[in-house]
Amino acid sequence: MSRKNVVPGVLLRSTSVFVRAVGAMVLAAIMMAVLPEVVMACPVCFSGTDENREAFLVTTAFLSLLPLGMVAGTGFWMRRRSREIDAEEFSGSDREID
Amino acid sequence: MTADSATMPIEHGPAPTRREPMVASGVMGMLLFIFTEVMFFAGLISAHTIVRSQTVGEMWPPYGQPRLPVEQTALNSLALLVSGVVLVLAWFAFKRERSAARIPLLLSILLGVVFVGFQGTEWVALLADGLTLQSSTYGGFFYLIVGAHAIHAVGALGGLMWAFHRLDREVLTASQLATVSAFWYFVVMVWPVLYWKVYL
Repeated sequence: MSRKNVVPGVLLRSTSVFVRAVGAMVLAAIMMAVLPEVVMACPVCFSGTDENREAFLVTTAFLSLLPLGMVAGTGFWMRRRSREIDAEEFSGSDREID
Repeated sequence: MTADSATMPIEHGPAPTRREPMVASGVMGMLLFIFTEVMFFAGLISAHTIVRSQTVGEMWPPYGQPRLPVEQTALNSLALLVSGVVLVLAWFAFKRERSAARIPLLLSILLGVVFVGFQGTEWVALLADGLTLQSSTYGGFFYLIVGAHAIHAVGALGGLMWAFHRLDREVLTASQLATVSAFWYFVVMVWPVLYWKVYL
């Protein structure tokens, strides 16, 4: 066994599991930061044409905001309806119930 | 405890007043259903928008596919919109006097039938011209989107006919009319969006 191989083995054996785990995570983070290349594969952000990219973004925003708008609109309408009914109750008017 | 105290009469208080529901149950249920159908059409329109944006050279309709009858469908769309307006008038007539809603409700149904029938004749002509579900994505999207709307229109017309039948027998309630009307309003209001994205 050469002297060169002994020292790293001794170092690995002497450090705790926690220290080795932290070291592995730091090494992985450095590699993730340095090694990858931008491949432009996302069809929303990096599409071939401007029209296609714009269509993706517009339809994404549309499908995200539409249900929120419907729920908010229904909530406002129900709140206004509740106030109308309360106002009629306090005014003492009679309403037919179907 | 004596026998008399066991047979004491129970004094009833005043009957509880029934509060009118904020939104009729039928209308609330129909609104929830309409919300799901709005998202259904929103998904179709979004897919159509993205596919259309991917065409090479922005050629839409694609080469070799027949053009859609834009002007005739515009007239047909007017009939559908008038049907919606007439249904609103039928509602106000119903609130005034129930029997007064018969004619506007019937007129609204007839205009809706005209719309669906005319769309059917358009389809026959387009099929003869070669635009089919399999001919291109253009044809596939057209029949999918417009066909889905047609199915909704037929269902809504069925609801309106049911309401007219009940009105004829003088058993239609306001909440029932509001429920079927809500679905027809959805069919009417979603059509201009579909026309704009598919035909233009």
